[in-house]
Order: sequence, then C-alpha cells, then structure tokens
Amino acid sequence: MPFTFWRKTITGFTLLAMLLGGCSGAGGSNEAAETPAAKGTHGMPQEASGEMTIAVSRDVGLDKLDAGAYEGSMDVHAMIYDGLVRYGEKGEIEPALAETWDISEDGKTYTFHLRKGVKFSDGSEFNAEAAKFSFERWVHDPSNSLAVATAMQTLEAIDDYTIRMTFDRAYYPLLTELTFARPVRMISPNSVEPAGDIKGTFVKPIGTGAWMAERYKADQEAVLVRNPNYWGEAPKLSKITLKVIPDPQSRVLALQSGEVDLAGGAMGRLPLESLAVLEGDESLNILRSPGTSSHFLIFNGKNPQLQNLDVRKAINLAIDKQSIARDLMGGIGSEAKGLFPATVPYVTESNSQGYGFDPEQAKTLLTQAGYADEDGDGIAEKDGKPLSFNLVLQQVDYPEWKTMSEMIQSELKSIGIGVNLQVLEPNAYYDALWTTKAYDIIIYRTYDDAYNPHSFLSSLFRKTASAPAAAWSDEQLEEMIAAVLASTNEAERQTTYDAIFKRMKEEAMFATLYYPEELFVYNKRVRQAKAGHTTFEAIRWNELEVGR
Amino acid sequence: MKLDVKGKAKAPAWTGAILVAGIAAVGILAPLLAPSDPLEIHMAHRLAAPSVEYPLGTDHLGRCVLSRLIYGTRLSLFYSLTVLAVVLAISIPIGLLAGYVGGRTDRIIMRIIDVLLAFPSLILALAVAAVLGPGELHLLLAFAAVWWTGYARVIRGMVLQLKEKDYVMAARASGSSHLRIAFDHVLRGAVRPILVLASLEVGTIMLALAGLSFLGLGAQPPAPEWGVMLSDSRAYIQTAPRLMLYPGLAIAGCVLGFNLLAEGLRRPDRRSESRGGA
Repeated sequence: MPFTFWRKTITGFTLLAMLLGGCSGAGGSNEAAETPAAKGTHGMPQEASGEMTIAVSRDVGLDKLDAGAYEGSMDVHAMIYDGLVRYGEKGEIEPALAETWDISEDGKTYTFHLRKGVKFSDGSEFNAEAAKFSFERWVHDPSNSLAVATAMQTLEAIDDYTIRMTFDRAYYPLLTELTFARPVRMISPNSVEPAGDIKGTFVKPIGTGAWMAERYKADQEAVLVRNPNYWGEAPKLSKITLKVIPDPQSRVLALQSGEVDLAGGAMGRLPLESLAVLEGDESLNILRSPGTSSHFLIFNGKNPQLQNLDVRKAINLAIDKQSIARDLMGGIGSEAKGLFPATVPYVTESNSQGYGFDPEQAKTLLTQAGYADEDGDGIAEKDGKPLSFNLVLQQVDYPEWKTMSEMIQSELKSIGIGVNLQVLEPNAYYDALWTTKAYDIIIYRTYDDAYNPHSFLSSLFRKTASAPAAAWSDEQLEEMIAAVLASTNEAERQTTYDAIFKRMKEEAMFATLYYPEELFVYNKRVRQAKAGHTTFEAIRWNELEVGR
Repeated sequence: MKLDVKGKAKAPAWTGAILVAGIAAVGILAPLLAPSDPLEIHMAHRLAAPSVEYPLGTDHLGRCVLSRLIYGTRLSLFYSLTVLAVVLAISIPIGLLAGYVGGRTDRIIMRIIDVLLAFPSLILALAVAAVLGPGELHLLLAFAAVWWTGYARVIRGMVLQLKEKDYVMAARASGSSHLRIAFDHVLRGAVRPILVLASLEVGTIMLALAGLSFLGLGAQPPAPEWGVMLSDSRAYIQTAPRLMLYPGLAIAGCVLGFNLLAEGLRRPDRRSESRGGA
C-alpha cells in the first residue's frame, strides 16, 4: 500500500513546515498578529478620542521599568521619566528638569538649578531631594561603568532646587551621559517600598514625564496615558497603546490592516524588503529620520596581510557604498564616508571623508603592494600566499549583514581578494569580536546617539588594562582619544576630533559601509509625526495627533 | 539496481526513477545547463522578473535564480548522498555485529541505540551542528552522527531473520568463516531492503538538511543551497513571492522523486521475499 509513502512524505513536509514556521523573525517567538490575546484591545473605537496603537517587537517590561535600572524598553523609559538635561539636535544639551547649570573652571564640579513647580505623576513634588534620591539609588553600584557613577565624589542638595555634583576628573561628556534614557532619569521616592529608601524595592514607575503607566499585560501590551501633572506642553493624544508583535512581517500586516497606527524604528523594526509594499499602500505614510550609527568592517591588526596599508585602502576602494545604501537598503540610509554620520557631534563635512568607490585604483594599489594573480585562480598572491580573508558576521540581530557581506565578497573578488563568509550565531559572533579575535575582517556597527563619538571611540579604539583595542590598535590615536575626553575646551575638542578622524582615514583603520536611517510607517490618520534626536526618542510622542 | 516492476505498481516507480535520474542529470551537467554564473552579482538587475537572460528572474543580489537552482541540485544531492553514505558505513557494520553476534554485544549496542533514538533526531542534529558551528562539513557530521541509529536497528532486525535461513545454515555447516557468512551471505540478503530504506530516507535527509540550512546552520553564503535560498527569499514574500516558490518546488520535487522510487522498489521486494528468495 502507498500508505507508508504518503505518511513519509507528509511527515517530511510537516517537518519542513514546522521549521519554516518556527523561525521566522529575528530570533523572536513567532506570535502572529492575530492571537486571541492581542485581539482583546481591538474592541474599543480608537478614532473618537486621541488614542493610538504602536507595534513594538518585544515586551516593554512596564512592571520593572525602574528609572535607575537597565530593564524594560528604553523608549518607554524616556516617555515616563525625564532627565536633568535633554539630548538635542547633534548632541546639543538642552534644559529639561534642570533649567540651568554651572560647570566649574576645572570641569570637576557641576551645579544644577532645578525647574520649580514640577510634580511627579502621583502628585508628589520634584525637588533636590528627589533628584538626589534618584541618583543615589545607582551611582554607588560598582558595576556601573558610566563616568557619572565611577567619577562621582560627592552629591549634595544645596537647597530645595539646587544640587551639586563633584567628580574626581574632568570628563567632557558628563552632560551627555545625563541625557541617557537610563539610569540617569528622575524617579519619585514613592516608586519604591518603603518610600524614599534608596535601597527600597521598586514597585511602580512614577516619573515627571509626559506619559504614565496605566495598564500592562506582559508580552502582550502596555497602555500609557497622558500625565495630568506634566510640566511641559501637554501631549495631544490621551492614550498610547504599545502592542507586542514580535515578527517583522506581522508588523507590516498589522500596519496594512490598521490594527496598529505606527511601527518602526528600534522599538519595532520594519523589514526593508517590504518597503515597496508599504510605500504602495494608500493608507500609510512613511517617516524617515537620520540615524546616528553606521556599519563598518573592522580589520584584524594581527593579520600580516591586513597590516599592509595598501591592502586596507584597496578594500575600502573596492566596496561600492552607494550601491549598498541605494540598492540593498532601498534608499533608506546613505553612503558611508567617515566612521560617523554627520548627525554625530564634532563630525563635519570636511573631517568625515571616505574612500569612495574606485576598483581600478584598488587594483593598482594591490599591484603596488606586490600582489599579482600568478596561478590564474582569480585571487592575487604575494610570495605564494593568496590574499584571502575570513569575514565574520551574524544575521540574527542584523539580517542585512548577510546580503551586504555577499556583495562585499563579490566586489573584493573582482579586485583579486578572496573572502570566506562565516555566519556565526550571536554569542559566538560577540565572542569573536570582543574576546577571541577569531576573524580577519568582522562587520560591526557604531553605537547610537549619545554614545557617539566619545564612548564608542574609547570602547573600540583604546586598549584596556588587560587587552589591546577591540578594533584597530594605533598608539597615536589612543593618545588623542585620551586627550579629547579630558579636554575642557570646546574648540580644542573639535581640533582633536578633526585630527582623530583624519588619522583614522589616512591609516584606513576600517572600511565604512552604510549609514542607516530610522524608518517609521504610520497610518494616514496620524498627523504631526516628527522625528526626534535619539534612537530611544525617535518620535516626538507629545506632538502626535490623530484624526478620523 | 533493476526495476523489475509489474502491473499497477509500475507508474509511481517509473515516475520516481525518471525524476531522480533527471535531478541527477541536472546536478551532474550543472555547468552546461546553467545560463549564468550562480554567484555573480548584478546589482543593476536585482529582483528582475523572468526574461530571456534570466529565465526565472533574479534574486535580491541580481543573481540568476535558475542557475542557482541548478547548482543547488548538486549541493542538495551531494550533501544528502554523502550523509547517506556515512550513515550506511556506520550502521551496516554495527547492525551486522549486533544481529550476527547477538548476546551481550547485541544488548549493549541496542541499549546505546535506544538512548540515541529517545531524542528527536532533528533536534539532536541541530544541537550538534550548533555546537560544532556553522559549515557544510559540520552539518554533514551532525547528521551522520544522529541518523545512523535507525538504520542499525533495521539492519540488525534483518540480520536476525536472515541468519536463521537455510542457506546460511548450509554455509555454516560447510565450514565458512563467520566473516564470510556475515558479509557474503547475510548482508547480501539484506542489500535490497537497505537500498529501499536508503532511497526513502534520501528525501527525508534532503528536507532536514534544507531545514538546517534555512536556520543558518548549514551551507554558508553565497552557496546556492535550496534551504538557504528559501530563507533568503522569505523577506520578499510580499514583493517577489516567486523567489520562495522555486526552491520550495525544487525540494518538493526531489523528495517526491526519491519517495516514489523507494515505493516502487519496495513492492516487488515483498513479493520476492514471500517466494523465499532474496
């Protein structure tokens, strides 16, 4: 009987179907958009009041959203809690809960004059004591690596609306650190049990921000409502529902069906491959905001072939950066030049230069360096050693790296450089990047927003007590980075950064690839969608409005 | 192997044989059949619709989908046949040993197999592949390491049956060595069922390999493996659904071919067995 045969075949297909079904999405579980739980919120008419629904890729963790901790969604952190200062365009420091501040001549003492009449969402008053409480909950934690924590010596409330901090060193990005989404933001002493105890257990998120937590179902949704006590201009919307939709394709479908009003950005990334579909949808609008990060290739300085400057330059010249942004990324983002895009502080048109795309020049450089393809296999050799590298990547967190790497592989092949791609799972990838250095070339990206450029440069291009720099090691560069961090003079910092970026380019310490942009898609009934200045405040939530 | 199929059983067997022969021919003749280089990237022609130059269109990097499918046949066939060969090389001696020697040897081997069989083989292969790291060789090893148990068990069962046959008794009485009896008489009798089982399993292995490659544990880019192609094109399910269709059909066709072939091979076998010969 053919029974066995059919059973076998059916089993086989079921197996494949299970595999296919079980792994869509970037490592997340495959909860479809229309699970019964997610449907629950859909009964209420959303148009009548100023309410909207946003798709997020993972649980926002509203129950553990402690301003002084590192858990839950950063975006929601920034909606509920305010900092003393705010990150403006290109890293400009703007006043928030501190109206003004003074920095001592030596750059070690900071005095903040707090805004008066600010209330937390529970009605309690925000003052110097509350600010002191917020900091003291985490600054003494030895595992915290922020300079605010490691360099802080004293923290005192001078009067009801003034606090002063002293530090053991001058470190110019301190104010930038105070704009972070966490853990530097202000939390009500009533958020912990017992109230006002810095060692107390966190029970409820209470901040001074424009939004406050209303309802929360883990892994399903979080509801935020307007904070009636907000000190700034009141948000136009009365309610924002964050709905968890882990699968990127399901987020696209939810946008198309009108189930959610907005999706995208770091909180719920949309697949660029679906851009054409979203663009063609009559009911949807697209918002793009320039990002602050970039993708690039790190060269392993231990590889003797990569120690040759001409080889590094040739790799830079062989990669068509324009085509990556235009063709692979559907025009969302732009061609990379220097390590950082122009949205990053201290980056200017003139100090951020790239290599452009010139494969002929690249071939000339290789010939000049003594490489020639003698055995006719398409790979150049020198002294019998083929010019061939391992390129390590991961595709769970960054699915686009695979396509980019395949393109780079093909482009380098055309100038005579062989590339083997190694796709690792994320843990093995980060192990290779930070610890084992088991790569010749590895693809990576810069951090976001407020970490640039200082924090990223010092974590990748400076040696630590125990290890050489994670990326390219260069003594001159390390000295300049140390100098710029301790500098208290703005003009001097600009000059030093100019020199840093110039040195990086001259030595071709890496190959830059792509400056991504944040992509948001929203329903046409949403108005006044505007981009913010940081990844975690990518949309100006307070200005959004909805119509019919 | 001869296809001595009679009557109604003919159709599926021949369909299977023709499918498998066709697939093998495509794999062997890939360089002649493929219209372009399967790895060559043309960014200007990405996601192009089918045309004369690209009969099935191009993928997200502008590579010819037809050429990739054709070269993918090679990979899929080569991988699954290699796994099968390794599996047979492990399982035949072990099954033979357990069945022929019997006693304590048999019990120990069978308990080990029982333990291994207690794990779902695909999950086990996944774990082994994840530990070894991605790569074609590691994938093949992972598969062979978990797939041999079922065979060893079946082979042992056949050996137990065959060693009681009259002609084996006769060989023993005539003073042949154990090695000669085991390989020449017992194993020869088991060849046909083993081949049937093997051709049935080729399809299953092919599917499982494609599954692991889909998960990123198998073939490394830019290899035109079907599972990888399927996984790559998943992102374009709304914009270019045909990209998913082609490798899916290729996998389905291949598996169908091998299963039909196995089905055809199996029937006459039962009949001849009932006549008492092998």
